Amino acid sequence: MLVTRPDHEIVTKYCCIWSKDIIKLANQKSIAVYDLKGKKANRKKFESYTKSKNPSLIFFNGHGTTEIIKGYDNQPLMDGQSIPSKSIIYARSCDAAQSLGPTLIQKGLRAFIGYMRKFTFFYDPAFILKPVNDPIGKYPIL
Amino acid sequence: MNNQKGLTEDIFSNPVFREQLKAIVLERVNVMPKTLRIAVGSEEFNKNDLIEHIKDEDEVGKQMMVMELGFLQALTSGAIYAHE
Repeated sequence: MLVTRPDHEIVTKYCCIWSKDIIKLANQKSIAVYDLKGKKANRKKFESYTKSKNPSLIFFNGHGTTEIIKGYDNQPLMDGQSIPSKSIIYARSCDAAQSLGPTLIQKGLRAFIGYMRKFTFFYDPAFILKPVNDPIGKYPIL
Repeated sequence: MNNQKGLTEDIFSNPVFREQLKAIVLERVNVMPKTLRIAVGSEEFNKNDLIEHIKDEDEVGKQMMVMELGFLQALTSGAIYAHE
């Protein structure tokens, strides 16, 4: 499993922190996890890992549009021009299921799980320095 | 999924139903603690921002209405409590 989790601002920071449990669970199940956290969530590293490791699952966390999924500092990680492997993608990114998902499926991606609208969650600003303690931030509502 | 989409479209295209849904969403947001924030994509809003967006029925306001509708549908279908 390849995980991308930039953490350059509040929204990505929350998604980054709340991905830890998934990584922990994967580790418990002896699933190899390649963790592109923070600045490592860039296109160069992403493409290098997808080519060399050929992950069966790619779990994106980061901003998105109908056409692209972004990494650290909102730099593009994947777009319709990317050559997908036979992976399954779960993209915790806005809007990417509208156009990018179907495009990648046409190019041979095994499955794309994503969102047709903006990814949305509530949070309490009192916990922005420690999102993991935010009692409401762990519940995405869309 | 298609049924849900159809129902959402039916409600949004009916001015009476749309106003009723809007009133429910505004009441829900009104009881929200003032300190909470909501992240919608790359934007962040406080309670007052959210109320204005809902009143204006812009993209953010409509998304809040769609989410409320989804929540009510899940509540009535039992999906929300199915795992308990």
